[in-house]
Amino acid sequence: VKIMLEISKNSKLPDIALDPINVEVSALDSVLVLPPIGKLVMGKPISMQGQSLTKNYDSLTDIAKDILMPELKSLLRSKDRFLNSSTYLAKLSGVYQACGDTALATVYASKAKEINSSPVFLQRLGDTFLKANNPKEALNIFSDLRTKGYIDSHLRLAEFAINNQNFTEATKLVDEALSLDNLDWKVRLLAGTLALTRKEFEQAIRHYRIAIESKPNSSVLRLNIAISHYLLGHPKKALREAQKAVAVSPLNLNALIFLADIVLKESGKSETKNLSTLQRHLESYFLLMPIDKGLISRLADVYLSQGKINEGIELLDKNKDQINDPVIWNNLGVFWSSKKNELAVKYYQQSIENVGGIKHASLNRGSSFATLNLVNLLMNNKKYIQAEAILKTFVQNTVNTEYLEDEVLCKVPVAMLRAYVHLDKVMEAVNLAENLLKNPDLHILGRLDFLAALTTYHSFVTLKHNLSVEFAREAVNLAMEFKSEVPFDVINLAKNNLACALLESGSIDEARQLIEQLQVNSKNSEYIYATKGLYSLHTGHIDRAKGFFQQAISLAENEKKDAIRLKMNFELGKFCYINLDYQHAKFHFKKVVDAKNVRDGWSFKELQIKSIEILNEMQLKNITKH
Amino acid sequence: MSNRLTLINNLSGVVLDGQFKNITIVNCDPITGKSKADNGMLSLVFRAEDIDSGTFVAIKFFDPDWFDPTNLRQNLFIRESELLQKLRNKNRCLQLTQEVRQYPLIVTNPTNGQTLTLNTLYMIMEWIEDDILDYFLNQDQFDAITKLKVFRLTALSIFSLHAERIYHRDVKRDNFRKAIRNNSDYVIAIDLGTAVSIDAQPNSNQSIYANPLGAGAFAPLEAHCGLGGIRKLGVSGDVYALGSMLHDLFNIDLFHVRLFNEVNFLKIFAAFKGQMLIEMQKNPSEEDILKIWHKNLKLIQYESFPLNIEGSGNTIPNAIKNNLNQLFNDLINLDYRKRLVKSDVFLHKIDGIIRILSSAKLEDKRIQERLKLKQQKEQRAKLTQDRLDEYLNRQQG
Repeated sequence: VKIMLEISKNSKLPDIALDPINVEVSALDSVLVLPPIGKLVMGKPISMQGQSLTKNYDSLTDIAKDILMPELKSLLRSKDRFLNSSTYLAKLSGVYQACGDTALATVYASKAKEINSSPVFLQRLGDTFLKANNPKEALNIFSDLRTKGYIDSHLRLAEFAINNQNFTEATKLVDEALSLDNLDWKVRLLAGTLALTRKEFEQAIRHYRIAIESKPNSSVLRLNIAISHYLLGHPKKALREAQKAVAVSPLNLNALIFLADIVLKESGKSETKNLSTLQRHLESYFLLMPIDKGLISRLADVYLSQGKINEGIELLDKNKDQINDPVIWNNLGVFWSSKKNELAVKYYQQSIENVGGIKHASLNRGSSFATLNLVNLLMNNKKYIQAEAILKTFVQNTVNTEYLEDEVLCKVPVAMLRAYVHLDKVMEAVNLAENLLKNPDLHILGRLDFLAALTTYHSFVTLKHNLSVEFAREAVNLAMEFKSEVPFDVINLAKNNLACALLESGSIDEARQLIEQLQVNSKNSEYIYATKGLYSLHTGHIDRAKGFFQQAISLAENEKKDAIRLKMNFELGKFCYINLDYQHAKFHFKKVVDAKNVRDGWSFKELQIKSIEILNEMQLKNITKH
Repeated sequence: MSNRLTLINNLSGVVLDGQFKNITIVNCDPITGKSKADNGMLSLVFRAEDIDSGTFVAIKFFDPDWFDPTNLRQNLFIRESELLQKLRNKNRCLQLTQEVRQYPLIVTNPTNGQTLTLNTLYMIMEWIEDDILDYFLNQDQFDAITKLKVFRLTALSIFSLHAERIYHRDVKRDNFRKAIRNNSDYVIAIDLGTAVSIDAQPNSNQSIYANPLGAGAFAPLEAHCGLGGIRKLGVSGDVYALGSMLHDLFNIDLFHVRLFNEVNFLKIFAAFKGQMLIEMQKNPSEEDILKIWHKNLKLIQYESFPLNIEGSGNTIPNAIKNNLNQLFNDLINLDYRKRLVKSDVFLHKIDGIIRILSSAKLEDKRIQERLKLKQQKEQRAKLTQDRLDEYLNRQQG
């Protein structure tokens, strides 16, 4: 049974747009910014955020300064008495620093260092210079301290190197620090993050694990481990760690975003427990924290995944005017699409209008999704010509695909494929698929989509089974190569497609091996049972085949039930026909022809055409009476 | 001239109540009358000599410049005296010498030039000279055991207030004095202006507690979020301040400077404060406030406290790092319900830490002595050898 792979796991649902948010990997005071999850494995460069030591102080609220000001006065009252105490001067410097007076902070840190030249006060002076935006002086001090084997100076110097993108020097410094104290959590944190930049994910995890011994409740460390696991292709482990990161610090926005993305994209929307926990976390966050655009989209997606349409509409409606961007309008359209099509169309159009119309829609993620969703909505209502026209305008005006999200990039052609097929432009659709496969920018999931489409096309339309096997095999190889980015069920679907293609091309043994493998990996998948049914037919066991097919139907969701039933009847009809049981053959083929509610796509349409042809042939030859 | 300056001038060179002479103002400038304290003054503190005993006393006057139409502040002043009366003969507590009296202050009305008499309240208490600032601001001059012992006494002075069902509400390093009583060292908490009895009726106007009553830098999260008036939380608030003092004994950065640089803490701080201020506007009951607060605390139940006592350049000996950090975390827990409020448990912990340190010190001493003995032995052996060599050389020669 070939089920055309589609990028969206629930093809019926439109796509909710999530603002792509970078994942921050923390390393001391620096933050490494990784691209959004969907892009992680595409090997895009990891960018580095600037020195954040000063950022910390910038974020010090006025309230905090108000609280510290009396403390400053209190210290100043004792100035004459403690002017020769290095600790007093260092404390005074610290309070001045926190209250925003970097000049006086530097003066008192210098005085402290004059009285006491121990590394502690030197390091303090270096830090003060750094915060006073005098990196040159700071660098001199840290370099001096490095020779004295003071670990904190190694870390500061490593941060300098990181900010200058000199990872080799940073690694050298961290190695030196490790040789001085290999259990220091700060050193391990930085070492882990540097390993991450070198894509040595396992090594990164090892460093973080040692650091976590000293800081067991660190949300930052947990998140860094989660990110490393994700990059290593272990989404389940990543999910577990991200859950811990959020549990220990529910207001850690970065961890929440990562957890939401991983739950929504990786763990499968069917895992209701994860979804409801995530929902609780997100709702708690909004109880206390200001509105965050990215998180609102994610909470909306959580509602959508659980079918909580009213809650989703309420959330988006409440925040739509304040946020007022294409993403939120698209998302509102998505929610209304399951209730009132007119309102959905209105919101999609509002999203597109928000960026200046369809010609500019590709410049924004929200409006791109809105275009796509609008087109799919039109096609669901059989308005293919209108849909094709919108898509063409959209594609023609997409000058630079760099700004277009991968997901959109591969979904637009899928929609075009669908429109073409329905407008009886099958050859154009195939050409489109073949051309797009040559596009190096195409996202891996889009590539798999088109390979599946071509497999289906050759299997059902041209009947060139060798070509069908070739495309299916390419899809499996590709899915395995990028397995960290391809969801597990999609990999299994690709393998399943190959098994079917192999059966049809007569390579029964290879197909059997693949089926055995699939049986272990996806026990409760309707596809594997359907494929086993097909295998049983190819090995001559019709009753066993019927059993498997029935099991597949019972496991499948509504629409898929019809599709599998149709395929079962066609294959049983074929089997009976070959085995000269014309009466049963006619019975099964007639069921194929009479089937209603069959999903879109050429494969099932083709099955119906072929069934009609065989029935006609049988009628012509008048062989049904045998 | 302000009433405050009139009072300062009036008291200069006089003998108050026929018993107290050499009266000098302590907490404000005698020329300008400007406060030396962090915030608005409630009282003027004078130092004076008791003619009978020759000892010094502190005379505390209710600030005559306070505009106090409802007598709220004056009542607080009287409350302080009442609390001090409860603490009479408690070694660890400040001792009241004389209860509240009235001083007839004659001032001129600037609008019409007429004179009027203000009956200004005052009370007299013992004067304790030595503060404990050195341990915090010149900390490297003291070893860890000395600092821990001072901290132990400091904490005990607060716990002894708690034992009398009083909480201080302005625990900070400036508000403690060192004293010797009955040949024993004591640390005494002073300035009970913000102190209150745990059993006292709470103020019906919760809005005055939007910010902490005492020093904000030493106040816990809940006091910043408008819960400072809830009696139930008072004891744990004092304990939190003690935790921050413990931190400052061993670090070159002040506790709150480190704390307010923690982005995660600031986030929680801003979120909780914002939310509670909105809730307070609804004028909720104490029970409702606590309900909301507990809900917040549940949200951060696994949040480790943002700080470890081991700040950069700390001077905590290795032997006690873990135990001290544990004690520190017990004192400054974000959840007020989890703070260490029981004095016996506190004593058990701090004495344990001091014992570890003493043993380590003793062991160090033993090692040094053994080393010294070994060196002496080697020296003696060398001397004997030298003598023997000399003798043999002589024999050969």
